[in-house]
Amino acid sequence: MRLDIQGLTVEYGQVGAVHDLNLTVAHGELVALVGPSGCGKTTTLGFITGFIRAKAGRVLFDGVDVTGLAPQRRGIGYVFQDYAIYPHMTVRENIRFPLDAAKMERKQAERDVDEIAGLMGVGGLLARRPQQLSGGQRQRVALARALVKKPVILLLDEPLSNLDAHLRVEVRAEIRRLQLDLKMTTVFVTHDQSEAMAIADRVAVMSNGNIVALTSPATLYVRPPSLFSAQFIGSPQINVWAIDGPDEALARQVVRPLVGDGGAGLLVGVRPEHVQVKSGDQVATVTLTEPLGRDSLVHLAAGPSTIRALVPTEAATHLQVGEQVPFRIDPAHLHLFDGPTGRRVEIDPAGGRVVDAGTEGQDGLAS
Amino acid sequence: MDLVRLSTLQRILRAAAVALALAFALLPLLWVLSIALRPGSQSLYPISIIPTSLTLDNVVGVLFGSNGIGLAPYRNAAFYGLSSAVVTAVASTLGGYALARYNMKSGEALLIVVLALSFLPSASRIVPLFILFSASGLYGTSQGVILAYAAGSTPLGIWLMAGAFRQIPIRLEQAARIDGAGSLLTMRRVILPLAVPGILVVATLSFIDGWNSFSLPLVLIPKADVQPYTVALQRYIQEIGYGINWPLLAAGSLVALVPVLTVFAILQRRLVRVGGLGGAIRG
Repeated sequence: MRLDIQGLTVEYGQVGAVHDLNLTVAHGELVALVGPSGCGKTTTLGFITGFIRAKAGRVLFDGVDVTGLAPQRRGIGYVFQDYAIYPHMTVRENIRFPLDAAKMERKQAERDVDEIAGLMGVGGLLARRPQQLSGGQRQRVALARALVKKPVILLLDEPLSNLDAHLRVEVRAEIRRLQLDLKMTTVFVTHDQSEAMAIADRVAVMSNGNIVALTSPATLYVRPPSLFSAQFIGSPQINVWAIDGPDEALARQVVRPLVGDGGAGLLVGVRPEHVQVKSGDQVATVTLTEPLGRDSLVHLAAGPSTIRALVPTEAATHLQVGEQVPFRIDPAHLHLFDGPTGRRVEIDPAGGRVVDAGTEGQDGLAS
Repeated sequence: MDLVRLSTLQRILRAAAVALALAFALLPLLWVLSIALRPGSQSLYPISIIPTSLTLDNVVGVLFGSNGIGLAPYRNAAFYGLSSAVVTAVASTLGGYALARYNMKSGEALLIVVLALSFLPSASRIVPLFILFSASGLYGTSQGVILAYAAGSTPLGIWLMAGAFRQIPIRLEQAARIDGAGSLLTMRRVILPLAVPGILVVATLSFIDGWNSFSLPLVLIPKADVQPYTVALQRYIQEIGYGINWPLLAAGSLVALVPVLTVFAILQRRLVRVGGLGGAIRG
């Protein structure tokens, strides 16, 4: 089932408002809505379910306008952040509730409950009460309840945020596998960019009530369409230096191979993993090393500017704070953005600027 | 667990304060008990505080004796109290839900007004009710009394139920909608089961209110055979005049205490919890 949101505008005080948002999710596709809190992700989900009335906008399932349809008649599966399992019912009654609501014959309903419970690994917990379940088990029960009626569209609102770190990775993979198996059109809301990258076919980056980037995780990372997306996606965060500002010396030096002495108004970005340390023709001072596991984040000072570089931890252990080290930034890995609008800028072979057209909406300076 | 560590002196003072409060509340009851359970011969001047012998004769006498008030007044009070409890529970559940969930502009103000209404003394309603009931034909009917009782206990009931519903996460209702349930099914299968403790408390308070009510039935029910025990006991004093059988009267009061104490004993924990005092009191 295809999902279309057209011209969604929801006005709130300040937080959660959405302005003229458009989004299409193809049949069987998983789109992750990601963005800081208050950017309108949950508002958008609320509009798809019908709990939130919009000032303007339509939602279509397979081209059929369901904007005016009551939530209970949309056939949506929804997993709430806090799961919202009925505390007075057993696990079995919880999972069966959607089938009861659909007046399914009891025997068939019980069979369906057993099947989905087995699939979700909660088959042994059917007689229990929610209070007797762990967070991960509750999460599975919530998912089972959402899936038992074979929903046309699955909505997941931060479904992993209440799980501990290793369980999160595990359940994330399970959700993705299941979603691919059942070919469910899915919208997944999260504030965690790595979660969005890992699970989605396409990632929609939201900011201030609109989608500022909508593309595949790989593209988002390799060719971020806006400064905001570049800063939001990727960890540790991308280095950004403005030509017009205290970082001018460093920024000009780095960008010279591309634009020569031009470049007024540009922002220059490079991801920490693309800063090479211990080789190169420029020099900076080590101010801090943070071991993150396989790699370490090394903070370097070059004049007034700070450079964050990702260095293999083995190599990083030989770096001393205060030590002068050579470094090098490959111009091929530079991301350029237009200062006033934050949009991606490409430099054509003649040295002219081309503002990226793939970006949707306005994207102001986020730093 | 004590949040504050008390010194010995503070602990003694606290115990004394509790004892004083308990004495204030319990002495009249103990006095009723003492009179009700003594033989009639010991109820004359000079009267002893503690009877030398105990008997249930007075209790039997007031319920079954020829000069007692009989079982009927208690049955009447129970009927009025229970009916009022049902009416109050239904009305409070509906009203409380509306105030808790529907975003009304005047919602908060309405809640305050409702709470203020629940503080009105029932005596202030008697004359208007009398006029209203006389005009509408409810005067002297059991429906009338039940309505009057329920009208008295519904404001507090609405207030308590609004609080009870607010404690039920709205997410659960949304989940029920997502699961395909309409308003009625959501109410029946999700909201009401979770509101049962609150409903029980409201019904209990309303029952006790009705059971203890005196001035309303005194004015609204002229016929002796449908009056509750409160009015029957008062009439008993009036009719007998100077020759009051005090032990019998005390026994009548004692019998009236039994349902109230029983209900409280069963529901005290829930009363404390729903009353919003849970955190403050449970030690």
